[in-house]
Amino acid sequence: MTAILKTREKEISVRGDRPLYRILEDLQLSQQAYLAVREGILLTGDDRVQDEDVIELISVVSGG
Amino acid sequence: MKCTKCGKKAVVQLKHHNLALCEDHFSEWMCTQTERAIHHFKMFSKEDRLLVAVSGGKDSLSLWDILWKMEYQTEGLYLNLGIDKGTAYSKTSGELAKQFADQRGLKLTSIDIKADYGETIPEMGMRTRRGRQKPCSQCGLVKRYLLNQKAMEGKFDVILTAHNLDDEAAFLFSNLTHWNMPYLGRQYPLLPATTGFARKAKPFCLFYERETTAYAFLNKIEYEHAECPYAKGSKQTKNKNYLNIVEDDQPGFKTQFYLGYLRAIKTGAFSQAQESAEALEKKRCSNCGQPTTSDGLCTFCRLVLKK
Repeated sequence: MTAILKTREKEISVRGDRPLYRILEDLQLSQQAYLAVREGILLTGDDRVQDEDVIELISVVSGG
Repeated sequence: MKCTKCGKKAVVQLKHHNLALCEDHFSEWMCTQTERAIHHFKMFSKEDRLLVAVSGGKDSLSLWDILWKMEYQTEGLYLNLGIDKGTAYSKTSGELAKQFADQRGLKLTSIDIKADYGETIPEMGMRTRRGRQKPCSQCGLVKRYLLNQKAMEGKFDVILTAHNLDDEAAFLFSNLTHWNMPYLGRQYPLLPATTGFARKAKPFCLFYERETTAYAFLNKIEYEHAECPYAKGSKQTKNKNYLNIVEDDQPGFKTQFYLGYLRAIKTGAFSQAQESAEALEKKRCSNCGQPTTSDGLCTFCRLVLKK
């Protein structure tokens, strides 16, 4: 089983059972550039992501 | 991770402030910090009439929400730039801005650029060599001009924009790498009123973009999530991403970079640039009468009249 990370553009399957910041590091995603939401709750970097979790990543960078 | 204030589960970690906050304390912190910035930079008071530049995005709606909660006298101005490119960007942004204002009983004025000037921003861009691919310079020019014009006509005391620290740090990075002295002299969070120009303030200048997004999310503010289709791959976005890489490695880097600039400008490091920028704006546009650096028509009138 894997956890799913969803952005507006795509879904990424990742190995779970580790802290969010580790997953973002592996995906080379800046912690500054995204908010992570699980079941409507914002996560901090140390929150553990479990297999089967669905995490929504909200991009915070706007350039308008 | 627990909230530094109450011990409940934290939802936002602010490494650069050595804080972690729960939902309630984070929203409270955003309001307190906004108030502190307003006082620290002597931006405005509760007696002033404030015109908020509203784009329908997370920053401007969060700023308006906080000012509304703190009972400042605000009105919003939304400019329909006619940006679509298959995304209905302007249409959606305008609807979200209107919905926000209606839900809170706030006054929002909308200006349709196409209806008033005959062309959308992308159409204006098509008439210039550099604007054909990305009409960003025409967009910036039109927004600055109309915001100022509406503020002067409506006798508002201050124009507010919701530029955050990431915006400011990315501008600063670009202006420093190009040694763009006139711009470096004018990036302070408060620009006083001068002849023909209203006072301008940026009350969100000390917040990271991550924080304004978290505020919008936690306060259930519906905003336009898509970025402007012309902003994709822009230098501004790239510079933000570069600075975020450094911030991940050195928490607080962006804050130190920007606060260092504010200290430098306070000690007069860019005073020559400030004076030369002010000296340039002594002429008047022959069409609209706004101060301009050029003879004859100002840049805005040249753009909209010379079709």
